[in-house]
Formats: sequence, structure tokens, C-alpha cells
Amino acid sequence: MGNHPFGLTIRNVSKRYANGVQALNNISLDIPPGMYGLLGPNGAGKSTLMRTLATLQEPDEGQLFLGDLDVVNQKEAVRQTLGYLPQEFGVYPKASAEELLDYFAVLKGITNRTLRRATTEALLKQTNLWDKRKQKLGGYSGGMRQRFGVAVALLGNPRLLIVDEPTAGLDPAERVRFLNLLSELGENSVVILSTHIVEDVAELCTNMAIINKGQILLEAQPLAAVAALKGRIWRKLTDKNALPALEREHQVISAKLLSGRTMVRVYSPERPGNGFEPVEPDLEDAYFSTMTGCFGQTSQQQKAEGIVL
Amino acid sequence: MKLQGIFALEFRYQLHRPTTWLYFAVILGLAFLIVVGNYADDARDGYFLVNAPIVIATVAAICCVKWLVIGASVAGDAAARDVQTRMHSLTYTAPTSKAAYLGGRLLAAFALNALILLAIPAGLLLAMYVAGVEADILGPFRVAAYLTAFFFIVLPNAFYATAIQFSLAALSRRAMGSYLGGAALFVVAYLVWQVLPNAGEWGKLADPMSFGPVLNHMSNDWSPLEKNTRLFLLEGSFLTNRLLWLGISLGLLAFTYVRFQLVLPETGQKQKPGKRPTPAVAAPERLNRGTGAALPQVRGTYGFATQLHQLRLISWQAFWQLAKSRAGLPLLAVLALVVGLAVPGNLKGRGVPLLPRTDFVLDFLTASLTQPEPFWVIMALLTIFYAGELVWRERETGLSEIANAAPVPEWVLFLSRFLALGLVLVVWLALLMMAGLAAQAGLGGARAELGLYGQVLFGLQLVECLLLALLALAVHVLVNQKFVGHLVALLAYGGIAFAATLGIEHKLLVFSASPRWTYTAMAGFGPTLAPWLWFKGYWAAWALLLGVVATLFWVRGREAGFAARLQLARRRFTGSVALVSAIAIGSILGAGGFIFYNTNVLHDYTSAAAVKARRAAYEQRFRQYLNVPQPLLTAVSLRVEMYPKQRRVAIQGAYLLVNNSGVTIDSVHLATGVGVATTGVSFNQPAKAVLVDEELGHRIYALAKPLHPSDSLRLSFQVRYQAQGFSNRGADAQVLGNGTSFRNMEWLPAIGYQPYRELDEAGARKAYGLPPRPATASLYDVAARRYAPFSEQIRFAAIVGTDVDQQVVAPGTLRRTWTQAGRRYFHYATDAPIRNEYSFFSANYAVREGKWRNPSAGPEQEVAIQIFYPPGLLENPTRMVRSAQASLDYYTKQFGPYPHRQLRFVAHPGYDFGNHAAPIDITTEEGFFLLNPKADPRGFDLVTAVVAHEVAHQWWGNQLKPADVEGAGLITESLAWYSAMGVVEDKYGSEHLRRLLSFLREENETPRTRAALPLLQATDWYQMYRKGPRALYALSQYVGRDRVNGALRNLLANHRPTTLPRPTSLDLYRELQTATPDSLQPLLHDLFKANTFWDLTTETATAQQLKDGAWQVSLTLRANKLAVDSAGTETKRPMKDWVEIGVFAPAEEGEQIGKPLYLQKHLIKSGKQTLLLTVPDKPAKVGFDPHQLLVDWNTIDNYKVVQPRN
Repeated sequence: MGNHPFGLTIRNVSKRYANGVQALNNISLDIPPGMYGLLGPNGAGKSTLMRTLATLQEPDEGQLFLGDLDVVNQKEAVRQTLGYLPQEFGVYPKASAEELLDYFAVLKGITNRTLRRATTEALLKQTNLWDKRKQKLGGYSGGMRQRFGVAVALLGNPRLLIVDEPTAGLDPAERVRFLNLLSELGENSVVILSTHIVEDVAELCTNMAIINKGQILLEAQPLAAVAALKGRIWRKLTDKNALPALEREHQVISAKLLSGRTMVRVYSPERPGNGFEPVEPDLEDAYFSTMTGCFGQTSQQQKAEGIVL
Repeated sequence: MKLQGIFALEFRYQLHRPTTWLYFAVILGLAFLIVVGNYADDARDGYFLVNAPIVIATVAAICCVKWLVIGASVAGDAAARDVQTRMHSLTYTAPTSKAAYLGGRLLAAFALNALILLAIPAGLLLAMYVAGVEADILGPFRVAAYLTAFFFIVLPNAFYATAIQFSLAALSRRAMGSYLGGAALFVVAYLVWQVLPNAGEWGKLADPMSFGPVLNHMSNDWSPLEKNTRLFLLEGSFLTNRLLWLGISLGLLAFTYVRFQLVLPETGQKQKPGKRPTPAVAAPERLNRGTGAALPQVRGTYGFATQLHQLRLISWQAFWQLAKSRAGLPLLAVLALVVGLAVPGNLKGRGVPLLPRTDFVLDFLTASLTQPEPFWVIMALLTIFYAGELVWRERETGLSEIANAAPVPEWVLFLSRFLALGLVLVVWLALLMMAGLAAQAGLGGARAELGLYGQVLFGLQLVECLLLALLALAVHVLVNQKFVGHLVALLAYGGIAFAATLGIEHKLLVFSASPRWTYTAMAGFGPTLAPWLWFKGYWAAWALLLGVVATLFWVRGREAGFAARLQLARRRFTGSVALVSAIAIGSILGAGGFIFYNTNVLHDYTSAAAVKARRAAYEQRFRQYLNVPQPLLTAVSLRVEMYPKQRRVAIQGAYLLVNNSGVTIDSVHLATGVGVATTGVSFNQPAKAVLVDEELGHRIYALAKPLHPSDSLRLSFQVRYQAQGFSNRGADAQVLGNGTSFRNMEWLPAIGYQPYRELDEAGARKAYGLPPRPATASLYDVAARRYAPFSEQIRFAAIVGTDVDQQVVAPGTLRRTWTQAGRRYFHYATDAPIRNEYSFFSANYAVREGKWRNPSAGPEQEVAIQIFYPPGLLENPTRMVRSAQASLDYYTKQFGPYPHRQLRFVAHPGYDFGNHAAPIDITTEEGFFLLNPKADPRGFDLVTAVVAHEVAHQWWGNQLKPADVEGAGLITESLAWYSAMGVVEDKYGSEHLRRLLSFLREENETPRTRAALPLLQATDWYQMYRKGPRALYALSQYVGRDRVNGALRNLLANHRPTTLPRPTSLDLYRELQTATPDSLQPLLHDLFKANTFWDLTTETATAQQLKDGAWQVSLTLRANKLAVDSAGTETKRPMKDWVEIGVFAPAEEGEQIGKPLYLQKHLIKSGKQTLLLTVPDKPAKVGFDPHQLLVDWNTIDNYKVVQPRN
């Protein structure tokens, strides 16, 4: 992909915590401007990577570049173009949204009063908080608070926007509204969306990576990843107690309960036979296939070796 | 059982936390240090055994009180951790009863605290048996002493404190509640302790920690015997205290149980109805899918201006959040109010209200960090607490990740916290100023000097406050764990406050330490400001460096490991940081170097230990010359040039020495002054210096031609003094721009070996290998009766020059004064010999003059009375002249003539109230002129009485100079007070005398041990100034004032100033014996030769009217007499004493007691007895020894209201 002038380059980044957990293991990624999804289960290392990008953590090894800015050594410069919405955050319960947003606007360097007022007004309107701007943040619902967080993150028109599991606590309506907001971000900005919800990525992101146990399992464009699976995903409605047997015989990537029975999806380059029917793959299939190791960079390599054998 | 499970989980959880063991270690260290650093020394000086039960109890009480603030997180955590870690949604919903939940947690906290406090006995045992304490100050090991201290003091304290802290934390759902509770208990303990001597019984109950009562047993009211043997048992008011607070604790726990709810804090309590917003989902919102305005394209601008803007905003925001919290401005306002209310009570000298002059008010309102004054201790605790809040607030709200990712440099983040805290402190000082102004306005009589308030509070005191603020912030940043941060900051503060006690005395080594500034109207700041500024500048540079370090280590993410933070700090260490650090280090080295040059090069830096070593060396090297015959100083002639502005004095002196020893003298020993250069020593005959010890101040000159008996010798010398910068204690306060004074005792050479320079404390003497001796020579040490320091009688003449606008005061008649070469000169000469103690004063005084003429002598016997006072305070000088006239009248009549033609009181700048009576010139501290007896609720004029006392010293102390042995104070101080009583009685009436006597009795209300030496061997303040005068007064009431005064007149006549041996209290006793009739000899003995206590009680008093209209009174009395020795052993003595019995008519309006109907002495035996008296009118009250002549500490039961008899 190369080093895009505004893109984000991550090279061989590793991080091990004091308690021995290897949160990031030699990760390299190239993230171009636009929406980028970072998909992975809880504890995969997403938040560690996000906090490292947000200058709040140091990698043990490796380098991170935003354009030509060194994230580790030029923190101050990175912070000037950074918007960060952490996974969990609190607010001063007795401050109003307007006050606190204004406060953060100054922290983000918007010192001109007129500009600041215009900016905060635009953002509050954008996040649909304008009517509630005088209300104390302590009384905000989870979704409102989350949107307020987005408003803070968007202050100063960041070139790098990091949103860590933003849709986790949102109801469906909130989630839609939130994702729409994200999709409006400028084309020149890098927006990294970390999530464990596949649809978030499917609907919004032009690029994505799947991460687990501190390693990148797949780096792809969602549409391409789904296309690559075409013809390889099969499903079968079966009994719960037949599942162990199926798992022995096939690469089961997911099993969902469906009105009392179990819908099993397997990965298989050929038709697995007996009762399986082909399905149109979706991103969830790509995710599960990657997680179970049948799809992705590593598995493709193994496959190549297999052909040689 | 669930409670057990909760208990066990909590107990194990906290047991595995390092903080728990840190607390244990700190308490252990504290107990250890208190014993090794403090009580072991006292034990070496012989006050008690180091493992006496009282030491164990006292250390336990002190450690308990410190633990309140150190270990408060244990209870706070147990009560509030679930909410703070947001685990409550799991624990609260578990099927546990409230009782089991709270009970388990509380008991676990209590058990943990008890465990931590086991460090007290552990530390004690370590200190006593491992630290190498000598066996001879250790008594037998008594396990009961440890058990009683732990189970009666420590464990109950732990329970009450845990209950209070736990309740506060549980109800507020914040661990900080526990801290505030602990701090409040801490403050109560210290405040109650301070007021305890006057508080009586309620004071012993008010403090749940029983801190004051335990410490008072140590310092006042237990005898040495009791200290060494008596166990601390649950009895009396101590038991009441324990039970009362057990009840209160249980009540509080019950209240907590009722109020506490196992529901989420957001929904649990006082949610204002209607305030809760309707969930946002309810409103059907239009999805603004791309139709809304484009995202704002505004980008931040960055640079220094932005950073300043950010600094201002964050500082203001942080300040405002802190200020509006309940522990912020409201608390500070309450504290300032309390301080304001405390001003009148503290602005007193000897109980007399002062005119609230701004300088004295400010002296009360300010304190340095190294002086742990009560409300400044509270302020220090609050500063530490605020610092913790400022450092942790963002992280605790969860806002830190967003804020930390914002482009704000670390220095702005740190500095904004510092500015916010600084702003809080400025507000506090403003509140304090308002408190001071309000107090001044309320008291009236002095002008408020706003400029001085501004200078002192916002110039000087603010620096103290800011230094601690920065230290506390830096500690919190570096420690990065809130409770441990509090602990470390507390320890740092404790280290600052008690550094001197721990032996760290050099102020270059104690953060924020500096010599104290002083400001009084008379001398201004004088030379005290310069050293203060240097030291503070030095510490400000340290603070800057500390700030840089804290900025480098400012935590901005999740990197809490040391290595990671170090790496980050290295990365943050940019050029500008290096520059600031270099400036800080440069300033530290520069200011530190200059200070060191002043304290250690210009001055000998002498720590307390070095001073002791020097005294010991002096004795070891030169005591051999104690009895070498020396010529006697008989005349002094000086030429003194003072340069107050340059702080320089040059003296040329000549001594006339006469050999009256009866043997030939071949060498002269000279003890030279300290802090001055003595040069040009020469004699009017050839002499050779055989030994010159500049350091110890001793020289020996061998005379070429021995000095035969009755021959005389002339000694000339020069003494130069130049104030050189400042020492570790600050600048010398002797030579000031205005208010110079110095004495011969410090600066001018003295003849012979000077025993007063020896080391007195038993422990120190032993440590330096000196032979043991009592601190004061025994009354029965015949050899010691020949010595009294500076007791020679001299003729004195001096020509003194000073600045042209100042006035010099010296002893004697001012013969002439003239101006020459822009300087003013004064020639003083005495008309009669004075004792060899004199001062020179130079200042810009106002003078109040009066005259006194001896009515029975010719007109040449006129004495000029002069009061040299600070301009503007005329009221007391007028009083002083009147009192001096009355005193001269009375004393010349009663005791003998006043030999001089002047009597002067000369003001000396400073905050004190005392007087010092040298011959002719009495030094009066500036504060004495501010005493305002008119406002004294006791209706008592202490100024007049004290002046009479000081004038009496012209007889007792200056004419009659006792030997430097036990009981010397009975001759000087007791006789001076006794004489003053006569003046007060004759001149101002018996009501005034009654008030003076009652003033002298006030001290009896302070609980103290009865153990003491007899009055004849008095050495302590209470005996010399309070008990002695009253014993003399009692005797005068028994044998008659004239007979006692006659005995004193004889004493004076029989001991003329130059005769040896010098008088002692035994000579006084002999004269009193001669004057006392046989029947009263036992009383004389009991008053002076034994430490006697009477216990006199009126059990019943009834009356019946007789036929002739008179009344018959029937009394049942009980009497006992005890002798108590100095260890506290009490011996019953058979009683057969004459005791006054009084019967009184009903009291008139406004009187305490009515007119006496009957007042006679009766011979009273030990035990119960009845008396029948007849009085002319209806009796109301009877009194057994109604004038309290005999020593009886419980006088309430002496009186009884008379009941009618049927």
C-alpha cells in the first residue's frame, strides 16, 4: 500500500504487560485515510493498539507513523491532529455539555473565542446535542454521552480519529446515528474504528484488519474478503448434539441457535456434502473463518505450502 | 456464614496489599523513633525509666493519633471500595443481608487496623531491647504494661476510629470520607490536648483517642513514682471516656446501618425529583444523514500563547472544582472563622488581654511549616488532601484518557494544578486576613495595618503555603497511588515539622526551612528578612526542580511502571526542560552556597549536639581552675561605639581587679565572650598569655609580678562585634536598626572559670563522660555556696556613642550627653555599686518620667523613674511609674534603702511579655506594653503587680544575690512576689491583693503531680513563682506581716553583697525561724522544709438562733496532712495545726462571699472534729481555712453553706 502522506503506518509493534500478557505481538499495518475497521474479540489487543496510537501508551518495540510524524517520539504533534474516543470514559457530572466541550476546545488549541463558539455549536448540532447543551452531563443517557464523546473527538478537525468500541452500549437507533456521524468524516482523515461488532465494519469501512491475541490475522478490504469466500461457506440446520461430530469432520466457523435447532456454517473449498447448502458469504463469515484459522494471511500461507506438498 | 465469608475475603484482600504493611512499617518506625529519639534521652536525664508504663502508654497514644491520618484508607476502602471500583453492581445485588455485608466489612477493617497497630508494641520492644538502650535506664520487663496500653488505649481507639471512619466512608460512598474522619479526630485530639489544662472533666471525655489525658499524666500530673510503676487502668474519667465513645461508636454504626442502602449510588439517595432527564430515545429524532452542515474545519492553533490560554483555563477549572466542593471554600471559611474566634483567647499575656496590634495578631496568624501550630497542621493536611484531589480528579472521573490525548504539554498540566492549589491558598489567606481584621475590630484599641497584613500574609506566609503545595503535588505525581501518596506526603510533612527533634537541624537540609522572620512595631523586620529570603529562595529553587521532575514523570496514560515512566521522562527531557533544570540547579547551588558561607563559614555552625560538646569540653579542660584564687572585679569603665545601621559595636574596656583572696595571685583567668572578637588584652603590669582558647573562650595570663593581697590590677581589652550575615538560626537580633541591646554577660570578658557554662543535663553529662552531678547544686552543698554568676559589685561608668537619632540607656546617672561628628554620645556613671550585670540599649524611645522622693530622707534621696517605651503606647508607662513609686515607698520602708538615683524600665523589641531586672535598668519586652489590664475579666491589674515584682528584684536578686544552689529562686522570685503583695495591699487595697492571690492560685487548677522537693530546695517555675510567694504570705498571716518583713530586713542586713558564703534559702529560713513564735514553728517547717499538703473538709455546718439573737454554729470538720517527697511517696503526718475558721454573712450582690462574722484560728487535729461557735448575725457560709493559707489543692470542700438546725 505504501506510505500515504496522511496515512498511518505501524511497523513491528509489540507490547507485553507486566503481568505477562502479550497484548501486541509484532504488529505491522498500513492504514490509509478513510474508515478503517479493527475487528477482534475482547482482549485481542485492540484497545492497547488504540491507546498506543492515541499516545497514551508506549510500545515495547516498533514504530508508528502518522504521515511523517513519529507517534512515539512526537506525541505533542500527533495530539494536535488527534481525536480520541476511548472505550470507557467519564465526564464531570455537574458540567453541562456546552461548558465541557468548550473546555476541551481550548485544550485542543482552539483559543479564538468566536471560532470556538462556532465549532462547538456545529459539533453539538452535528451530534444532536444542541437542544440538551445546557443540561448537566450527569443526567445524560449512555448514547448521549457517547455522542458527546464524539463531539470532543471531532474538535479541531483531527487527521487521526480513533474510536474504541464506540457502539458497545448503544441502542440500535443510537448506533445508526452514531455510525452515520462517523461516515461523514473527511476523506483526508484516518478513522480507526475498533469493534467486535462485525456489522459496524461491514457497513462503514473501506479497509479492515482482524486482530486476535495480539496478532493481525487478516488485513483486507471487507468486500474483497467477502468475495474471496464466495463458494466456500456452507450451512446446515442440525441438532445440537450432532455438533461435536460435525466439528470433527468439518471446519465449523459458527453455530447459531435457530428456533430450537442449530444452524451450522462451515468453511470448505468444496461442497462438504450430506445436507450442506451453499450460502452467500458475509463479513461475519470472513471474521469467523479468520478467527478459526481457515482464512486469512496465515492460513493462505499454509494452504500454499499444502499445495507444494 | 455470609458475614464470615465477607470478613475473610476483605481481610485477606487488604492483608495482601502492600499498603497495609506499609502502614504497619510506618507505625512501627514511629513508635521506635519516639522512644529512641525522645524518651530514651529523658530517661537518661532521670525523669523515668525508658520502659515505664507511662512511656508505653504515651507512645501508644501518640502513635494512635498519627495512625488516624496514616491508616485511614483501611476503613475507607472496606466501606467504599465496591462503589469506587464499580463492583457494587455485583456485590450489592448478591443475596447478602445489609448486616452481613456491613458487619463483615467493618469487622475486617477493625481487625486489620488492630493488626497494623500491633506495630506499636512491636516498635516499643524493638526500641527497648534491640536498639541498644543501656540497661540502667530499663526497668524490669512488665508484660502488663504492654497489655494495658494495647487493650485499654490502642484497641478501643482503633474501634472508635474504625467505626467513625467506616461510617463516614460508607455513607458518603467515598474512601475519602474515612480520611476526613481521621483528620477530624486527629485535630480534635490535638485541640483538646491544648485546652485540656483549663478544660477540666469534659476535656477528658471530648477526645475519643484520650490523647491529651495520657500525655498530661506524662507531663504534669503523675509523680515520678507513678510514672514508673502505675499501670494505665480503666478507671475514673478514662473509663467514662472509653464507655462514652463505645456508646457513640455503636450508635453511629447503628445509624450507618439504618441509612446505608444496598442500591446503586446514583439512584440510592436524594435524587432531586424532576431533575432526572427524560431518556433521549423518547424523542423521535430526525436522522441527520449527511444533510447536516459539514463538520467544522477549524483546526487548533498551537504555540506558547495557546499554552498560556490552556494554563489559565485548566487552573481556573481545577481551582473552581476544588473551591466549590464541600471540603473546599466552605471548610476553609469555617476554619478561618474558628481562627478568628480563637484570636481573643490567644492574644493574651499571662491571661491579660493584649491591645490587638497588627504585628501581634499576625504573629498568631502565621507559622512556618517547621512549626506545627494547630490550625496550620490542619492546613497542611488539607493542602495534601487538595493536592491528591487535583492530581487524581480526572482519572477518578474517567475523563483522563480524553484529556490526556489532548495537545496540552505536561508542564501546563502540572503547573495548572499548582496554580489551582495556589489560588485556593491565596483565598485561604484572604479569609485568614478577614478573620484577623474582624478580631481586631471586635477587640478594639488598635489600628489594623492593611499594608502589613498584605506583606506578611501574601508576601511571607504564602511562600510557606506554596512550598508545601508543590511538595504535596510532586509527591502525588511521583508516587502515583492516591493513598500511598497521601501517606508519603504526610510523612514528608512530619519529617519537616519534626526534623529538629530527629536531629536534622541545618535548615539547608529540611525542605522549606528557614529562620523565622519577626516583625514588631518597634524593630520592624529588622535583620530577619534577609536570611528568610535567602533560605526561601534556595527552597524555591528546589521546588522548581521538584516541579520539573514531577512534570517529567507526570502520568499521562496507563504507563505506571517505573521503567516505562523513566523512559517517558527521558523522552520529555528536552532542551527547554534542561534549561529550566539548569536554572534551578544553578539557583540551588548559588543560594545554597551563599547560605552555607553565612551559616558555616561566617558563623560557627553549631548544632545542639555541638553546643553540648563544647560545654563538656569547657568543663573537662578548665574546671581544674574553679578554685584557683582570682582577683575580684570592682570597677568597670567602658567606651562603647554602637553603629546600629551597620550592625557593629566596638568596645574599649578597663576593669579594676582587686586581690581580696588573702593569698598571692600569679595568673588571671579570663572567660571571653561568645560571638565577639576580644583583642588587646593587657594589664597595667607585664603579663604573658600562657593559654588562649578562642573556641572555648578561656585565657590564662601569667602576671610577671604576683598580685599581693589587697593589691589591685588594671585590665584593658577591646571587644568588637560585627553582625556577619546570618547563621542557621537567623540573623543576630542584638544589634538592630532600632532596638539594639546587649549585655556584658554575653560579650565582655569575665574573671575566672564560669561554672554556668557547664553542661547540666544528667544524660548529656554521662554521654560526654562528665562526673554525675545534679542539674542545680544541692542546697546542702557547702562548697557551692560561694558561687553565683556575675555577682561582683562594681562601680560602673561608660561613654556610649550611637546614631544621632537614637537614645542610649545604661546603668547609672546620665552625666552628660552631646553630639559629635554626627553621632550622639552619652556618659553614664553609677552613684553606688551595682551587681556585675548590665545592658546597653539604643533605640528611638518615647520616655515617660516620674519622681520618687524618700519621705524620711533629704531631697538628695530622689529617684528618677523613667520608662523608655515604644512610641504610641502610653497607658502602661503611666501605670508603671505609679507602681514603681508605690514600690519604692514600700520597700525602702520595709526592707532598706534603694541605693540608686534612677529606676528605669527599658523596652526591648519582640513578641514576649516578660521583664528582666538588672540593677537600675529593667528590660521590658515590647509585648508588656500591649497588656491591657482594663479588659481583663479578672478585674486585676497585672501590669502594676509585675512592676512591683520587678522593682522588688532591686532588693531580692540585685542587693541580695543568692548562691547558685537549689532554693535560689525562693530568695529572688518568691520574695519579689511576696514583696509585691505588700505594695498591692498597701497602695491598692485588700481587694486588689485578693485578686493577686487568686491569680497566683490559678496555676493550681492545672493538674500536676504533688511530688516535689520542699520549697527551700525549689528549682521549678511553679514553686518559685507561685507556691513560694503564697507560703510566705501564709506565714505573714500567721505571724504578722511586720515580723516576716523584719526577718527579711535582717536577712538583707546580714548578707551584704560582697560577703561569702552567699546567702541560701537556709539563711532565709533561719531568719524566719527567729521571727516565728514556738507555737508556729511546726507550720514554718511544713511550709518550707517539707512538701506538705493539707486536706481540709467541712462536712456539716448547721446554725441555730439563740435567745439573745445571736447564732450558734455547729461544724463538723475533717482534716489530714501529708508529706510528699520528690518521687511521690506520700506519708501521713499527724496534724496539730492552727487553722483559720471563718463564718460569713450572706453575700451582697456581686460578691462571692459575705462579711466575716467570725474569723479565728483553731488548733485542729487529724481526723474528724466538731466545733461550736457563736456569731452575732445570721451565718450563710463557713470556711475551713477560708483564705486558703495552707496548701490544699481541693478547696471547694473547705466551704459549706450553713443549714438551719431544728
